[in-house]
Amino acid sequence: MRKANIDAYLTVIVRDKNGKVVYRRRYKSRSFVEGFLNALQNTFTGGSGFGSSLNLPNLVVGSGTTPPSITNTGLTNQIGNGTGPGQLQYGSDSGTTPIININTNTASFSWSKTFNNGSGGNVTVSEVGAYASVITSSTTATYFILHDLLPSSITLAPNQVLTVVYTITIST
Amino acid sequence: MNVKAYLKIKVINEKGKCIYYRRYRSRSFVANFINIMFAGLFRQSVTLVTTGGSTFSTSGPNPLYVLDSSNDDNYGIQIGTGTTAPAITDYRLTQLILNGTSAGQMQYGVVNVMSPVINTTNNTGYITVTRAFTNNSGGSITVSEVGLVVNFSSNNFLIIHDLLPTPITVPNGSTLSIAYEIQIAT
Repeated sequence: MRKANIDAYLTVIVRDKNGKVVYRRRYKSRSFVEGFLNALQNTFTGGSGFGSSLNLPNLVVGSGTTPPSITNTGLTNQIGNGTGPGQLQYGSDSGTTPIININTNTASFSWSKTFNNGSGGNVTVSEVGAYASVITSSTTATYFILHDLLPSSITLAPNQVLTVVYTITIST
Repeated sequence: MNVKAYLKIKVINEKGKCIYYRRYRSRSFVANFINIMFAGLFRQSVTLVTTGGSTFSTSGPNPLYVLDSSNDDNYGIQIGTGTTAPAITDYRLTQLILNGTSAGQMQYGVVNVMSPVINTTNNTGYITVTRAFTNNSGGSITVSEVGLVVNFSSNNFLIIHDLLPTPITVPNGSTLSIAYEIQIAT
């Protein structure tokens, strides 16, 4: 019997300006952080009428190289959105509908985002993370829930596009 | 490691003595859980199945509310007598033990959720959901399955279903305590 409860996998894909895939790696994500537990507690206790599950997803990338710690509240050095030096143009977060496999008793969905290098120079990405929010009747609390250091940094040449995909899986 | 769940089970007899304790690895998040997460994050429509067996369409976000009151068996941690192995499509326990003091029933306590405990030395953390069940039925009751059910929009949805490796017989007058510990490591 499998041991997994909730697993996350991280896929990074780089495409050149013609859309050709020039780099692809898939890693086991290792680092749910404290914010995930806080968000879960908030959804468990926030009320049945106004508490909410995780929403407002926001994948982020950075250039920090410090190993993740459970108390992290953000990336070590987040790359800003834009076309200035060292920046990347952030796409929208999107998700693919959950796939339920009744033969293997597993289910998963993917969460992805693209980052376009329009800076005119190389930009190196070495860490990935994710934020999500929990909305109550009066407040929106935003939590940093995942932080992964890439085993190998990725250098994006001008006009290359990085796609980051988190695949969240469960098994029964 | 990503997220693991553990199930802690304790039986206290009528004299207050602990007569049984086990800690198991919980194995079985079910489809409703991932659908609720997905609908919340991306505001896209999914179809859930209520504990009553009816379908429920939602595009989220929806809460995962578990704080049920005492003497109510509709959501929060539930217990049962079923012995069917959990499947990803499960939407209810196989055979729910009802709240009450009649034969085969147990009195459901209030559900509590503890604040996260964070250990910065080994980069781990967990939260715990607990509930006690008191057997005043007049006879012993054997518990063989456990689940966690969330409530929203006046409906209840199973998100975890576990079959106990060894069923527990709870004597009359004893209290069964169940804790789901959801753990992360960084």
